[in-house]
Amino acid sequence: MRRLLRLVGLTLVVVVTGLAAVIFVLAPAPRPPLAPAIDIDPIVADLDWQPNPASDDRVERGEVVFRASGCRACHTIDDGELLAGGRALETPFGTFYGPNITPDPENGIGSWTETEFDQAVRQGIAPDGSPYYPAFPYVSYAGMTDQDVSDLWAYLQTVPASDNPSLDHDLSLPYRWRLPLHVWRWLYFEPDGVEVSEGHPEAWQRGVYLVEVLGHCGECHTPRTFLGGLDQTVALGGASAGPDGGSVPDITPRALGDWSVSDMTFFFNIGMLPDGDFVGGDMGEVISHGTSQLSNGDRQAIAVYLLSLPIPED
Amino acid sequence: MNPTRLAILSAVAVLAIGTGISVANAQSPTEIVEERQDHMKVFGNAMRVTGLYLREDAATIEEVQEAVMPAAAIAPDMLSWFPEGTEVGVGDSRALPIIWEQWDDFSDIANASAQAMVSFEEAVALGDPANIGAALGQVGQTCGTCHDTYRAEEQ
Repeated sequence: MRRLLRLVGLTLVVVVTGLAAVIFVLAPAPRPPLAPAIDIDPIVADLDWQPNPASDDRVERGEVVFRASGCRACHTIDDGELLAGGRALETPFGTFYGPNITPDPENGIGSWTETEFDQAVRQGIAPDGSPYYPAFPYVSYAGMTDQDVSDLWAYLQTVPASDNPSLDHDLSLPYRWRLPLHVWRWLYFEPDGVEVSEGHPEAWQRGVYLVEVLGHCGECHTPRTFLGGLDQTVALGGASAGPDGGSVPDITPRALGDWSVSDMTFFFNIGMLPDGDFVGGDMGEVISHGTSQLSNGDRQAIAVYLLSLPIPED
Repeated sequence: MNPTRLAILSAVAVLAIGTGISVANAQSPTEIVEERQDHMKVFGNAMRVTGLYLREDAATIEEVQEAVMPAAAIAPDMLSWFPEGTEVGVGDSRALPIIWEQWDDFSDIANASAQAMVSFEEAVALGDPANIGAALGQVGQTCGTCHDTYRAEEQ
């Protein structure tokens, strides 16, 4: 009996140590607080940058958050009802379908409280307590301000309710199980969002917030580990497996070093590359429903931040 | 000569001459690809110069008009630049074979693009930057839509 206990104990120790070792190896190095990799003061000084004018209208402010956060792209199908769900997101883990997030109480999120909405958006936890798959970019949204979450909630109340039922995700077998998501969260989720160093120009701070938090650009432009976490050592350095299977370009100065703030601002306005070509597809959608609807100051802020990125290490 | 015979003979003569011309003009697939790329560069240049004008006054409206005119002139012929047999693998073509599988959709986009180009040329002729910007965006959307589905990624 004692021998058996000892064997069980030993096995347990080996298993736990092994697991700890595996997690230790897998655990990503924490991302250092973001800071500009170049002196951005001269760039910003040239811009006469202005923040968005203050507004008393929650819904109006919420619409800016909605545009910048790109909710529409995954929660609306082409020619479908706004935010009524259904867009397929193809990933190496299977196909995810953005659910209906209109105020419909049955098939949308009409029965949620604002607190539940906040928990879903910034913590990735559904009202029933289950964790979301990180296909929903809550890891990025975690850094959203209280005000913006609340304004976004106010805006979503104004969208027409649709009773279109949400589709189930179509995932390969091991990923259908949600329990491992808790381990995944432990590895890749920072509940307070990305850390940003202080003392930099306001335009840059706004750019960080638009790119890293609301715009969640890294969810497509940063490569993923085999566990589906973002490999932040190559932040925004381009990825081979994009949302439609194709590759997603590098948007660090390694690739865009010869773009000016003006080139980028114009690109985010109408989608034209400096050589006169235009982007289509998912990025075309980001531009037509997202960045082209933002203020010019916001487009400039995105450009300032992208130009300040470090060159990836790979 | 009886008028009917004359008509038939003339028709035959016209046909023969026409065939002769088209045989003389026959291009190799590689040449067609090159010519297509030259046409696309005319489009790209029109867009680029307009961008310079709109953004930082780095081009004059006259330069824009000069760049847009040839683009608008060739836009209606776009579909004729895509004969079968000019897909990826021919020269440095980036035209995906799916073009000819989904020719109707491809044609719709090309026609929409030619339409948008007409409005764009009109806006450029009138010279109001706000309208030019909007019209440029409309053309650009058709460019992007088509490239996304029907053009291979750059190697």
